[in-house]
Amino acid sequence: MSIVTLFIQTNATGAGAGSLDPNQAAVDLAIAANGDTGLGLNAAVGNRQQVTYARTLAGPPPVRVDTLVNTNFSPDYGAGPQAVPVVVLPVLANFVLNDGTSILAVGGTALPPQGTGLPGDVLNNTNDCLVIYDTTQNNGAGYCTARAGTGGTLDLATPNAVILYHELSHAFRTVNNASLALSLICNPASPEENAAITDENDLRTQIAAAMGVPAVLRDPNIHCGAVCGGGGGGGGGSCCIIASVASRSPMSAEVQTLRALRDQFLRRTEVGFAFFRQLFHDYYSFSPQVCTAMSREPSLPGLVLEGYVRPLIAVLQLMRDLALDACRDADLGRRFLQEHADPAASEAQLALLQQVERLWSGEELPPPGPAREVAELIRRHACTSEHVQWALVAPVRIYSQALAAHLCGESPSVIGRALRIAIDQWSERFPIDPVWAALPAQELEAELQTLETVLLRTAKARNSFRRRLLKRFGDLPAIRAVLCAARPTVGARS
Amino acid sequence: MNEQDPAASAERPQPLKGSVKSLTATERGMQVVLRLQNPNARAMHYIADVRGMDYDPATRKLTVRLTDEGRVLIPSAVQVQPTFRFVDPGSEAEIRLDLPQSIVRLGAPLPTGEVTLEEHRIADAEEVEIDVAWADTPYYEDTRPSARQDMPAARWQQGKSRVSYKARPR
Repeated sequence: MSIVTLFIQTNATGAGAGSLDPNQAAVDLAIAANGDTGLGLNAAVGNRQQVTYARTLAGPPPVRVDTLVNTNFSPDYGAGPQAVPVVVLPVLANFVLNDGTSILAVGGTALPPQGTGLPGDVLNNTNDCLVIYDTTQNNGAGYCTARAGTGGTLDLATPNAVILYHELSHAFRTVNNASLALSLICNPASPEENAAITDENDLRTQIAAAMGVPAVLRDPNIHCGAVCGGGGGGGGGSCCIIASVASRSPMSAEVQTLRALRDQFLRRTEVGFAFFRQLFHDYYSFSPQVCTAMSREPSLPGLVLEGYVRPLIAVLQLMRDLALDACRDADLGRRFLQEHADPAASEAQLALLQQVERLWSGEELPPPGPAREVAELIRRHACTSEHVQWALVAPVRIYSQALAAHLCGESPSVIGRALRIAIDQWSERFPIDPVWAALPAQELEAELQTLETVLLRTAKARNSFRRRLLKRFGDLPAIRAVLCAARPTVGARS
Repeated sequence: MNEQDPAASAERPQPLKGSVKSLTATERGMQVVLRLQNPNARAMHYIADVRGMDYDPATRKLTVRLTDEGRVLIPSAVQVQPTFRFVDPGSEAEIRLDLPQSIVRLGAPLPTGEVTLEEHRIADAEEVEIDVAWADTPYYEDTRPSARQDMPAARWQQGKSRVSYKARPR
C-alpha cells in the first residue's frame, strides 16, 4: 500500500497567486529534518505536493518527520478507522480561520479533521488534518514566547520552522488519536500545549547545535506569547501600574514580586478572585491618572517607590512568610531587620513613609501641581475603598510601625511579636464580598478552609471573620449551615 | 466578566464611544484611524489590535474584531495576547489599524476532498464595522479552574463598542 501522509499545499485554488508560500514550508521542513538530504517532494498532484523522506540522520525532529511522512495513519475517532493525511498550509498574514480569528493571533494551528469532536474540528471542512501556519512572522514583527527560566519573560523568538514543528507535534497526536487536554488558559499551559512546546524545544536544541550556540528553550508551562517588540503581552502586563511607573518598568523585580504574590498565592479561589476583581475595580479608578501625574513630576516616582511600593512588597512577603513558614517572633523580626542594617537609611525610609502617609491622608497638601493631583486622587478614591485600604494601605502602616519600633531600639523578638499581632489583626478584617452569598454550602466550606489556611492564622482571627460573615449574610441558609454547624477544634497556632 | 456576579453589575460603566476618523488606501491595504472617547470618570481599558475579521461578499460588509469574543478553542503555536490600552477619564484616544487588501480563508473543499481557499478583497467593502472590547479594569487572566469555553480576554471584557463606517460607493 502506498503511503499518503504528509503534503504541502502548493496551489491556492480559489485565492490569488501568492496566498501561500510553499517554498517556505519546504525550507522549514528541511530545517526540522536537520538538512537531511533524504527529504524530498514528489511532483504536484492536484493542489498539493507529497513529502518523501528516506531518513539518514538521527535525532528527535528527523525521526518525527520520518514518522509523519512514512506512516499511514488511520485513527478511529468513533466512526471507524479513517485515513488522515496531514496537509501543511503555509499561509500569509491575511489568513483568517473560519471563526474570523486572524492567524496572527495564534501563529499557527493544527485543525483536526471535521467531525472528530477534537478542539478546532469545527473550523475544518475537510477530512484532512490541516497544519496552517503564518510564514510572515506576524508581518515581520515576530512571535515572542516565554523563555525558560525567566518566570515568563516573553522575549524568545519563534522562527517559522519552530512554529511549523510545533504544529506538526499537535498533528502527530491528532493522527494517532492521542491528543491531550487543551484549555483556554495559557499559563499554566494545557497538557497538549505543554507537549507541543516540549517537542518544539527538541527543534530549538537541534538548530542551536547546528549553529554551535547554546540552546535557548521555551518554557513548556507557558503558552502565552506576544508580538515581539511591544504591542501585545497584556497577560498581566498591566499589573500594578503604580509599581510599574515608580520602578520604571513593568518587568522590574518589584512588579514581578507583586504579580507572583497575587497569582500564585491569592487569586486561585472564588473568594480570592472576587476580592481581586473589586480591588482592581477600585484601584484602577484612580491609578492610571496617578501614573499620568507621576510622569510629569520627576521626584514622585522615587518617593512612591521608596515610601510606598518597596515597603508594601516587604510587608506582603513577611505576611507570606508568616502564613507559610509559621516562623517565630524573633525570626520574623530578624527577617524584617535584614533590610534595615543601616540606621541612617532606615531613618530616611521612615521619613519617606511618613511623608507619603501625610500626602495621602491629606494632612499635608502639596502646592498645586502633579503631587497635589496625586494626593487628591488618592484621597477621593483610595481612601473610600475598603479593598484598597485593606490590601494596599494598611500593610504599609504595619511596616511603618515596625520600622519606627526598630529605630526606637526594640529587639527582633519585640518587633516580630508586634508584626505578628498587627498582621493577625489585619487579616481578620479581610473584606467580605457578595460572592460569599452566592456559594453553595460545600464550596463555602472549602473557600473558608482555604482562607483560614492562607490568611486567618489564629483562632481569634478565624472566629472574628466568621462572626463578620454571619452578621453580613446570616439570613442565608448556606452561610448558617456552615458557620453554625459544630466545628472541629480550631488549630491553636496562635 | 461574569454578568451574574453582583459586584460586576453594581456600577456598570458607559461604553466607549467610537468613530472612524479616516479610512485610507495604502500600498499594502487599508489604514483605519479609530477615535475612542471615554465618557466615564475612570480610565477605560480596551483591546487595540485586530484579533479577527469577517467579510460578507454579498453585502460587502467587513467586520473588524478588536475582541476575542466568539473565538473557538484550537491548538496553536502561541496564544498571542491582545494589545491592551486605556483611555483616561473623559478623554479621547486614537488608534491606527492596518488592514490587508484582502483576506484568505478556507473555501468549500473540492469533490476530491482537497482543500481550497477563498480570497475576499476587503478593500472593496462598502460598510466597515469595528467591534472594540472594553472593561473598566485592565486585563488579568482568570486563573480559576473553569469549564467555560470562551477565550480569557472575552471573559474579561465588560462590553464592546461597535463603530460603523459607510465607505463611498465604488
